[in-house]
Amino acid sequence: MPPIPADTNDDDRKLLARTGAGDRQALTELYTRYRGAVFAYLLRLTPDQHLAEDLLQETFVAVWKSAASFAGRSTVKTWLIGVAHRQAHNVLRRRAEPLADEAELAQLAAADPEPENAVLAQATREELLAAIARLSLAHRETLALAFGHEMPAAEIAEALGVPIGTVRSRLRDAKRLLRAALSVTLGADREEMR
Amino acid sequence: MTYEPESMRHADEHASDLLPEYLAGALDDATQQAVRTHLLTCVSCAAELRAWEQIGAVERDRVAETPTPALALLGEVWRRIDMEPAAQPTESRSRPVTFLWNVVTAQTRLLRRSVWVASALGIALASLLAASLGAELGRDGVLTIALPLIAAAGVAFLYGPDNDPGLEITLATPTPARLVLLSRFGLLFAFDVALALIGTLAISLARGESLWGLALAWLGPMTLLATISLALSLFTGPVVAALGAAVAWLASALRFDSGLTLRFPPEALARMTPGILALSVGTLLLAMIAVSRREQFAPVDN
Repeated sequence: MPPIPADTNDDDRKLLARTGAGDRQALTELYTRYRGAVFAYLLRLTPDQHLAEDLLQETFVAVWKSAASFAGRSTVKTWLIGVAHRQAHNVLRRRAEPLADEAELAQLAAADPEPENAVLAQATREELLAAIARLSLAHRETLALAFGHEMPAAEIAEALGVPIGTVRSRLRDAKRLLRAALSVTLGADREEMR
Repeated sequence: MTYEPESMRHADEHASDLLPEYLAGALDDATQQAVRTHLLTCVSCAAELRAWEQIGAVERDRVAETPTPALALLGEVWRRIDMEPAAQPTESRSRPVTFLWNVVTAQTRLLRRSVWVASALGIALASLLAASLGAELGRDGVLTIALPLIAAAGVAFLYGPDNDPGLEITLATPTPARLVLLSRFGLLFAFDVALALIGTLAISLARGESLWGLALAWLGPMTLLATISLALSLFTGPVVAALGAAVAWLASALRFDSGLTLRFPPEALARMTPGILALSVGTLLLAMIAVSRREQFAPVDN
């Protein structure tokens, strides 16, 4: 993992340390800084805005409780996303959201001769959004952190508690699955046009 | 570091795995430059980059479109914090008994139901078979042969990504992996022993024999074989571990004196001796050390 420059993150670390010591003003400041980022991450896991708000609150309750245990191995943002990840998965796992049948998509991906990259590059924004929404939680959140939050693979691995190789393979698989989902949609459209 | 260790070691290698980070500007300067140079000449990576750009644009827009949550939401955060004064960060550590109880009970929900059902069915069948056989058919041997095998097979399926889809999340919690492993083993083993004791009690009552004498014949090998199977499963996966334990069990019972015969229990394991107990505990400790080493990537910062 590339070392994180100390100065960019110093302010945040001080805030987190003060939060750990029980300083409410510090938690308020952390919330003000990171509510947008954490909320955006949570909204990629669930489309339910109320649930996302509730998870945001649970995340900051958990931050208050565990701030003192921050060991400084990652950036504060990564650590916050990690806390949000655990809060969200505790809840979403219980709900068992219906997900796309990935085995089915993977089969399509293997059978489809159309070049992967061309299909993706031609897709419209709406088609891509719909296809991404059908991905599993793990693939969606990895895409969101890699592109929406522009996090390096090592930081994503830290936030999600998985090896860096898993992050890269999730990205590869996500692209493959999106290609499969899109070829089905585009194929159906072409059928209709005939 | 000039290049990521696993990719882009040479300029002619493809940059596939680095493209998402390249696009996000998340690579260090030298790697970023190396990928840029590679893209100038590599048609397939350039095409791939365009595909990622499409996906990246959608994701970036999504974040940009997210409304900023209200500052007022923080009020509810304070209310929840003030509502549970007992839930201080060190609570779980400061009350070891409560913590241990929570960890152990949590495992009952995380373990596969099939492990419990299969173990219970196996033990019930073995007990029924032992009760129905006559003495001349070796009824005493049935429990001694079957119970260690059933325990070993169940234990092999306790731990590991093949067995527990939620393991990734379990490892992201502050609970040490070795404690998770130990409590899972303790739970299933206690469950097996309890059921086996019930079966043995029924048989001993029907025959007027001592429960203790019958139980001691299977308890030693059951304990040792279960810990061996657990340790094996960490290295080889569940199926190989269960088979390995079965082979070890049969091999230990082989006797060559008057032709090839099987003798259960094997002489070396005929009783529950301190030696067998020590060997079992040692194997269990080995498994816990192995799992701690392996799961070191689990976050320590929470």
